[in-house]
Amino acid sequence: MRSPRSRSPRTIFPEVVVEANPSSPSLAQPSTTSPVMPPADFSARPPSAPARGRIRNRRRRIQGRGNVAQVINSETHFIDRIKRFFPFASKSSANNSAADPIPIAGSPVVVPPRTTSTVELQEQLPAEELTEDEKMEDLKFYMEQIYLIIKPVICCMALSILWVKLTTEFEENYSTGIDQQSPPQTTVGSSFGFSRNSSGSAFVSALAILGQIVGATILVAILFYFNCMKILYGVFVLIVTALLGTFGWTLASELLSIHNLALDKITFWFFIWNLVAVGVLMIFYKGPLFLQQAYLVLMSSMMAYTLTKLPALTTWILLALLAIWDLIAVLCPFGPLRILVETAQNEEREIPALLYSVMIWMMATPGDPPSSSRPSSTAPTDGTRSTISRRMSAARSDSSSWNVFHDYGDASALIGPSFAVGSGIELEERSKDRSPVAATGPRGEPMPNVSPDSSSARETAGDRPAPSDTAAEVEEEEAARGGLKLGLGDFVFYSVLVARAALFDWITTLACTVAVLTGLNMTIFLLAMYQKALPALPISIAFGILFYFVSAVTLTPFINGLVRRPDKVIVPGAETWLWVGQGGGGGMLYV
Amino acid sequence: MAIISFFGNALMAYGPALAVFFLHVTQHAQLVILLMTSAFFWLLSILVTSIFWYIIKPLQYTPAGTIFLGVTFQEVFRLLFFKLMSKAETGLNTISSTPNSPLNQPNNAFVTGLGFGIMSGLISYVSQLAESTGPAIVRCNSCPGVDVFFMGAITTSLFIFLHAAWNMIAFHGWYRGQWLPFGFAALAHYAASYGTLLTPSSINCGCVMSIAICVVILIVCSGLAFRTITDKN
Repeated sequence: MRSPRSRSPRTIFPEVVVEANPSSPSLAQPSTTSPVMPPADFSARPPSAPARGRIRNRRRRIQGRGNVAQVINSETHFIDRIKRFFPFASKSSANNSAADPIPIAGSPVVVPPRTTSTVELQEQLPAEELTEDEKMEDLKFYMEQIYLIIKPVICCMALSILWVKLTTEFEENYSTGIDQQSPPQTTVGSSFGFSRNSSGSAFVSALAILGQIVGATILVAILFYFNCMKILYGVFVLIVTALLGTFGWTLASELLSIHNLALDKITFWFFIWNLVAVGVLMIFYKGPLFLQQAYLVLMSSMMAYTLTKLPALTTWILLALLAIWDLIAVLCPFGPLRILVETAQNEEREIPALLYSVMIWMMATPGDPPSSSRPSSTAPTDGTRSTISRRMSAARSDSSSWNVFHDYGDASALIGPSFAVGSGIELEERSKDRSPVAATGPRGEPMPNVSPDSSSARETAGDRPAPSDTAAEVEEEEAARGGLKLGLGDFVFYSVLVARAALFDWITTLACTVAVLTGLNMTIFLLAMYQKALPALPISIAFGILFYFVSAVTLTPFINGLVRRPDKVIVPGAETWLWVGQGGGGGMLYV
Repeated sequence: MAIISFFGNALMAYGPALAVFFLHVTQHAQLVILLMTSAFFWLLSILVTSIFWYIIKPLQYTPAGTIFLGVTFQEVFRLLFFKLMSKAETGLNTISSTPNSPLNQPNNAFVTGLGFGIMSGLISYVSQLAESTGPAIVRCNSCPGVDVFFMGAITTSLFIFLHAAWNMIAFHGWYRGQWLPFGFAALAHYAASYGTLLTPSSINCGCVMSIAICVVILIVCSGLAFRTITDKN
């Protein structure tokens, strides 16, 4: 966004096209000595069965690895990241010097995401349209991504519902849902816990909360923009500690008091201390992937539960405002989240994964669909590739995050030796003895979505200090890379909505859950269509609020009306009421 | 009693459907999404029904009218969902794990129907299930020896699979441009739903009859649905 480097290639491109295109046949010809080498025009790739099998295998492995890794936690190695980032921040020593030979080769590759300008480029090059086959591959990719994303979202919602149900008073369980024979005449608002005189103050308090969120978002965007990564990480550690501590404390003490359990203070403090310490270690240092995911989901659900303590009206106003703010922050030209993403893309930095674990990140960003990694996934089908073809394919895999650039792959192969740093490897057949540089290098994996251009791949390939990555870690990281990402903010506020509904009724809860998930599905399909970061809250929240009110007003009485039952007998002075069998039995109608 | 009856009823109502869901549907991403979309459509249908029910006051006192309205809207939304799904038909076939299998259509239809069924089972029965954690029971009017929650659990578990069978039959017909199978499925739906009117009635052994009606319809429809799989044309 602000870096001139990234702006220039946009303007250079057309010329590069003109020069690169004629050279492509001559370059591609030698490589076709190998029998199965795909033709130079990669967009017309042969639908060879092995290639498809490979793609599928790779995806399956990604699916098999931890999914929240893709969703929440784009990287697991905090220390590595710090090592990588801080030289970059303090003095441009390792990163830039290593990247220095590249600029010429790299500059055509550093491409903005599919913003309007890229779309224009695509229109200029009709030959680069995705074929039907690739569209299907993309679609399938997104299908699996939706599946992977939905699981933790459902977990988070279920946990928040569980907290709400566990902490609600017992007697409310008896009156869940089913109303009296003649419901009392109430206004709509009062039945949802609105009190008459609080609407003004509810709006004000919702605005106050929103203001804090906006402020935090802007602050983080500024910190990231000016590369103050140390401060950012410090703040995140503090926030996570505080969140885990206070919410864990609140929830645990509430559970204890409501269920009338006795626990001495020392044990309680020990429990909370353990929860926080292990959580911070898991999230920021390293730990089993499953535990990391569990902690992040747990944290979001506890946060959502805490937010249900707000008055009902405040919650609804807050959710509506958040959806609007999300739209602004992600889509407006100077929205902080947009600035964040564009900075990350243009400056070859990844947004630290921790951002995802903090609640202000409220958008879904697209993963790289398989069409972007297409050349590299087809190239290895032939075992006997010449080095130049390998180099080409690697360069392509580097540059082909955009389909626009398949033809430039040849151009970058021309200038390409510097690209071959981590590229002359079998892209698909990873074995354990592979060098770590190669493993993290451009290998045709979907790049981290926040920097769909090749920059981060180049960065990791070129200047990453050779760490002692085991193959498992590499795969983990790789699994963490491709794929959609959903902010924890979305987790939290989806769960707030559902937990709010859970305070009311089971039917409403289920309706809201399905509505929110459908909204999420639609958002991801839109993501697949537009290929840029989209706000994940608006559609889901709109659906959720709509379904909440409709189902609370009409659906719940409707379903309860289908159950014929005798009158309830309310015993005065008793804690609860009874159904007394003398009044005749009941029965359920099933529509 | 509370916890025991809760788990008993829950597993009775949702156990078979959950088994199918976890063993079959969750294996494929696109099936899960299909199921969720169809569940959403069922939810839409019941919301529209409930809005009409809420507006038209006389309906609230005539269960037969309520059932008619509900079943009609569900079948309409089944048709709408088919229209939507047939637009995505080629895509769904291509991205399935077996792109050219003739079983794709019945499979998609089954999963869609399961989505309808699971959502209807959840919405219809979940509040009773929550109530069944309480200390008391409500006896069934037609068979005083059984309680309402248990009857509801059996009915729910049957209806989930009835929906799947109806969906397979209806989709099979629509894929071939025939409306007769859909008519049959809708008729069976009306029959099964009106059959549940027997449960709260004062007819002797009405609940047994309503369950029997559901079971018979389920057997017949499952047979027909199975024939849609083997039907080649």
